[in-house]
Amino acid sequence: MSSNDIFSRHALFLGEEKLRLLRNSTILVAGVGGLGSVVCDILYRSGIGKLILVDNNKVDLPDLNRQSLFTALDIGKYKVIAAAERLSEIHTLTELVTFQIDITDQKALSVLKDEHRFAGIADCLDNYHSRFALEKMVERDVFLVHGGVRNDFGQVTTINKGRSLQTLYKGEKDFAESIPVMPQIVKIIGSIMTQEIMNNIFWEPLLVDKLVIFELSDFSLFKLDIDLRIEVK
Amino acid sequence: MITIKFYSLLRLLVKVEQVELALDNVTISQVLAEVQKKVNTPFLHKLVQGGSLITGTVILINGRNIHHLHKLDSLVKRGDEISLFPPGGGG
Repeated sequence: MSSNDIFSRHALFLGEEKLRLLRNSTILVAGVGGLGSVVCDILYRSGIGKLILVDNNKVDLPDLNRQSLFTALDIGKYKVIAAAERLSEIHTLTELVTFQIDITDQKALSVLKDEHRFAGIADCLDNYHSRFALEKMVERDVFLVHGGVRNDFGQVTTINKGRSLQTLYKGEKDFAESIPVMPQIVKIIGSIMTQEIMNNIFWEPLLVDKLVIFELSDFSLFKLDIDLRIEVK
Repeated sequence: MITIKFYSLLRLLVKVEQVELALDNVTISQVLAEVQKKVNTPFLHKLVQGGSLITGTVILINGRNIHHLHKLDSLVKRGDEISLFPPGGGG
């Protein structure tokens, strides 16, 4: 299996240096559901060096409308296991590590941090309290790309050290019921997240203190200036 | 001028992208009440109940969530930009 062949089409656009940066990078994907499936799929097919998949849930029937790594054959399997199986069918050039843990379990997270180094985190979670637990892993030289979806719209931003999602979402509470979501917005927001993850890997993030909002209802895309600094002088 | 911008569900509800008001040194509460009159569509009930902020919409003044300022008493000045954004929480 030759990486020259598999990655040749985007290598033509990115160039060898950026391909090397991808190959040398590790990304932790928190939440292997709708957004997580898209982010994993694109990063994996792009030749990322290593993916750490973190999720504690099993594949369920309502997941199949949008969680593109899974099929009916995966119902009842842990998502991280089913996702790793599917991804490894694409090629075997990316290292895969799975953690079947709850993101709010600080003890489990510290074990993960002790065992693995990663350049960045993809926040593909579906609730705020888990996001606030996850962003504690943002440190110097570790970025977090956040995505969220609802109905037919969604948003993406980058967090780095000194910034927090709590500055944006303070006061927000999690939905008690299932969140309504169209499959196509998951693909779009997951793709925008992946682009920004690559921007970070290439040391060219575009969404620090910026929030991209995409709305399918009339194909509107907005880029807001936001201030997510924890300490404001 | 103070600029108020609507996103996602609120933009669809009030059917405008942004409103400009000739105000200065007023609270965000006063601004929002004026905006509601101008767009002629009730939306305040989605932001405030019983005099307190409710969950579901992020209100930013110059990119800063008003929860980190003085909530509904946050001061708005000429030239400020207010964004009203119901975020997507799902993944």
